[in-house]
Formats: sequence, C-alpha cells, structure tokens
Amino acid sequence: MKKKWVHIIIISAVFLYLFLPLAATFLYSIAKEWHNTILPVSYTFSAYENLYTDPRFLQAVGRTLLISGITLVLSVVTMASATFVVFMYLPKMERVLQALVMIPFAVPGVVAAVGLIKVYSSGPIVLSGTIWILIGAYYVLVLPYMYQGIRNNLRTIDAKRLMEAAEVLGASKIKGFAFVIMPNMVTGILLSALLSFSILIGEFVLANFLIGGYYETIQVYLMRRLNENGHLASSIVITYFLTVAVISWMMLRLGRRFGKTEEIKEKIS
Amino acid sequence: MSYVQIDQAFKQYADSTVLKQVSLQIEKGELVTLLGPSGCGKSTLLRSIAGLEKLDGGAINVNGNDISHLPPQFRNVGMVFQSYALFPNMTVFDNIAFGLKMRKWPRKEITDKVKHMIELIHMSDKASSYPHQLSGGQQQRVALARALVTEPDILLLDEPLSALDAKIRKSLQIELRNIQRELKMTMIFVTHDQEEAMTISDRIFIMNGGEIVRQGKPEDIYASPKNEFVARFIGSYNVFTSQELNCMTGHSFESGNYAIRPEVMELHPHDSLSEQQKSGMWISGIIRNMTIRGNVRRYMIQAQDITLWVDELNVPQKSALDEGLFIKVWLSEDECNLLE
Repeated sequence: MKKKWVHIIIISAVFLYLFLPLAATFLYSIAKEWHNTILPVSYTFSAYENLYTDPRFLQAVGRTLLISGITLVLSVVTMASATFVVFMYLPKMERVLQALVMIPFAVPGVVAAVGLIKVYSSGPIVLSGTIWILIGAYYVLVLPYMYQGIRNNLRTIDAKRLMEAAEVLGASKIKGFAFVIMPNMVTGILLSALLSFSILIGEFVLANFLIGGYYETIQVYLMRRLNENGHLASSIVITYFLTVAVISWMMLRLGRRFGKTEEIKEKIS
Repeated sequence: MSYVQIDQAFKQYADSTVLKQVSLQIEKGELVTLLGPSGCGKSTLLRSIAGLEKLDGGAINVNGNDISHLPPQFRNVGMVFQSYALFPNMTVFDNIAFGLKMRKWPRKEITDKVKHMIELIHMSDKASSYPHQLSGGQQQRVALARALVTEPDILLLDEPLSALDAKIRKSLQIELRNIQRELKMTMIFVTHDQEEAMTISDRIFIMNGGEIVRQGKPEDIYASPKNEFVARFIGSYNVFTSQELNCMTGHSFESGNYAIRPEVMELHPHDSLSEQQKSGMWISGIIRNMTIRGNVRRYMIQAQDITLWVDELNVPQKSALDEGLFIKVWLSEDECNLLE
C-alpha cells in the first residue's frame, strides 16, 4: 500500500513537471490582462485569431504540407518497394541499405545544408532555389524512419512465408505483392509516414538554410513571428503541440492495430 | 512411370550439399512421409517440389509432366506451412477462395467450392472470422482447406502439426488421414516426429545428410531398420557391436553391428529359475534407472560396462522393479538384427 502511494506521488510530480509549463503557456496565449495575479484577469483568443487569419501563416502551412506530402509519397513508393525487394530477394543488400539510412544521423543538419547548396548550385543538376532541394534533403532525413518501420512490418507479417503461400496458390509475384503483402503493410507504412511527418513539420535547420528566404515554410514562419509578441509566440507553441499530439494519438491507434498483427504471429509461433 | 518421380535431385548452398542426388517415386493417392532430423534436407526437397527452391540438378515429374523449371504458380501443387501462412487481411472464406480467384474461377463456383471445403473442415460457423480470431488447430485446418480447394496434383505438408499441442496434433493427424483417403489425394508430409510418421503414412522415406537412407512401409521400417541411423532414429533401438553382444550373452555373433528393440527383451529376477525353463540368451545386469513413459516403463540396465534399454508394459499386475536391483535379461537370438 505504501509503495502504491510512492508511485502515485512520483507519477504526479512528473506529470506536473511536464504539464505545468504547457498549461502556463496556454493560459498566457489566451490571457488579455495578467500582471500580479496567479491566473489571468481576463481572457481572449485574439492571438489565435491573429495567427489563423494571417494569410502568411496559412500559406506557410500549405507549403509545409506540400513539401512534406511530396517527400512522404516519394519515400513511401520508393522505400516500400526497395525494402520489399531487398528483404525478399536480396537479403545480402540489407547491410548496404542499413548503412545508407544511417547518413542523416552521421551528418549534422548545418553541414548537410551547406554541402547540398554547394553541390546543387551548379551543373549538372541545379536544384538550389527550388523546393526540390528541400524535398531531396527531407527524403534523406526520413530514410531511417521509413526503412526501419517498413522492414519491421515485413518481419512482423512474415512476408516471405505469405508471399510463398500466395505463389503456390497461383499468384504471380506482382499479384502476391498487391493482394497479400501490400494490404498487410498499410498499417506499418502509415505509422512510418506519420512519424516522418511529425519530424518534418518540426525541422528548421534544413528548411531555413535551403529555401528559407523565398519559400517560407511553417517552421521558418514560426521562428520569425516568435519574437513579435509573447501571446502570439505562446499560441504558436500550443498550436504546434496540438498538431504533434494529434499525430501521436493517430500513431498510437495505428500501433495498436500493428500490435494485433504481432499477436497473430505469437499465436502462430 | 510413377505419379511423382524425383530423379537425382541435387541442391547445394555455398559449400554444403543439402540434397545429394535424391531419387524417389510416389504412386497416386499415396501419403508418404519424409522423416529425418533437422537439417537432413527434407524441407528443402519439399520446397523444391513446390518450386520455392531451385534445384541445382535433377528432375521432378508429376503426373507425367516435368515441373522442374516451372515457377510455383504453374506447378499445381498445394502446400501447408508449419506457420500456416494464412493471410491476416482476409477472412477464412477469402483465404480459402484466394487460390480459386487467382485461377479466375467464376464467382458462383468459387462460393460453392469454398463452402464445401469449409464444411469438410467443420468450420462453417467461422467463415467470416479472421485468422487472429482462430485457435492454432483451426488455423491449420483453414490452411489445409486453402491448399486442397484448388485440387492440386499433390499436396505438400511442411511439418504442419508441429506447432500444435499433443492432443490437437493427434486429432488432426486422424482428420488429415481421413481427408486424404476421402479425396484420394497424393500427399508428401514432412516431419521429424517418427511417431507421427508411423501413424499417418503409407510409406516413409527416412533422410539423413541429404540422402534417403531407408524407405518402406512403417511396419517394415520399424521391424527391420537395416542401418544404425534408422535404428537409433526410428525406435530407440539398442545398437551393439558383435563384440559387445558376445561379451554380454556368451554367444558368438557374426562380426558387425546389431539392433535390438527395447520391447523384445524380458526382465527376470536374478534368483528366478526361468533360465532353466526358457531357451534363448540371458544377460546379467543391474537396474540403473527407470522412467515411466505412459503405458511403458523404460529401464536402463548396466551389463558389465554396457548400457542397454528395456521396455516393459506398464500394467498394474506387474509392479515396477527397483533401481539397484540385480536382474537377468532374456533375449531371443532372432531379435538381433544385423545392420548394414
């Protein structure tokens, strides 16, 4: 009984430590007057109104969604097929792929940005000044998350065995992939894509260095407006937190579905 | 020509040869078992028949057609995997219907055929369940129905029952045998469980080190193992050299190795008079250990420096003998099988 109380106290302390700054930030974002009282004297949503009605904000959100969307679509299509082929038919190449996906961890963002600008400023491929340089950089940035997620998914569903079963039952490799493997990979791919998306919308260094000035994404916009006034900065932080929270919640939901597939595997083994 | 004919099948991985010129023939409607320890090549041979492994040499003929170089989808074989390999995104009905859909059967015929198969495996109430909602035994029955529904020329079963508990395994062995007889299906069953092989097979092929070392009907293989590996693998035989037998019995055996079934020997108290009444060979020894194996008591007897195993029926009329007791073991000379 005594132990249970200790647990509750520790958990409450951790929760307060994490929650209080966030609650204070939220209160400040909706405070109209708050000088020498514990709680604000009056409230207003004008900071949020100001933020959400700013055409620059909406434009920046749209740009971020566009860049992240293109990156994720490219990544899903290429990484799902590449990982599947390597996993099924070229297992010796897995080491090469694993080494490749480690690149984003090995190269700091600033170094990568400077290097990319230098390489793509002159021929043969000139990408500097276009969104494609950022999409390319983001593609590399999310590689580890996409690769690991898809690979774990393939292992969890025992893709090799499923593919063999489909082939023996008369399916070609393409039909086996389309009707059996792909439907069982959807959850894993979505999970990886959401994780990658939450990383992309928080990424600042590459966005600022590569196209910051002339193609303002949400990160660059937020950084610029943070210094304008405290209430607006707070509303930006809360907005960002809520976005990440929604993505996390979706990932947890999907994770539970993923867990069910693992249960099947456990039953089988 | 036999219905299934495998000639000189050869398979090599890097520097290890998994199949060494394996040849075998199977008649239509037979259920044969490939039996052997892990790594003996039995699963590789089965997967080669299915087209999931490519042979480095040899040929596979089924129903007069050389299928050695066909991809799996054109071989018209069915396969049941140890891990069932049911498609998690499909219901029981859709799993069973998958092979027929791939063969572009008309929708109405698919429905009728699948319903019939579901009835055959007694799972009509589970047609719309997903694999994760089924028990291991039910999943394996669905896997069996999925493989049978396409009416394959042969059905390959790769240790299909080894992930199940003993009770379900035994009931599925009987169910599998009944279905095989009902459909007159040619089946090749892979297992490392000799008891399972004995129970369900028309014929057994025993494999070791990439070769078939013995083949025949279960009763023939058990009665006459022919070589030391089979004797040890198939039935816990005692294997002695002629010198050991000479030393224990005082008789003079022809040079070679001999296999003796543990259940053909009899245990008698050391001071009994049976030696004078019963003709045969007598071995003096001491009981070192006794274990109960359900309906059988297994004794470990030490005779001089040699260990032998004796099985005795576990009946209440005869009480178990104590460890440390001096005894006499009776053995008929006819039961000593000279090995190759």
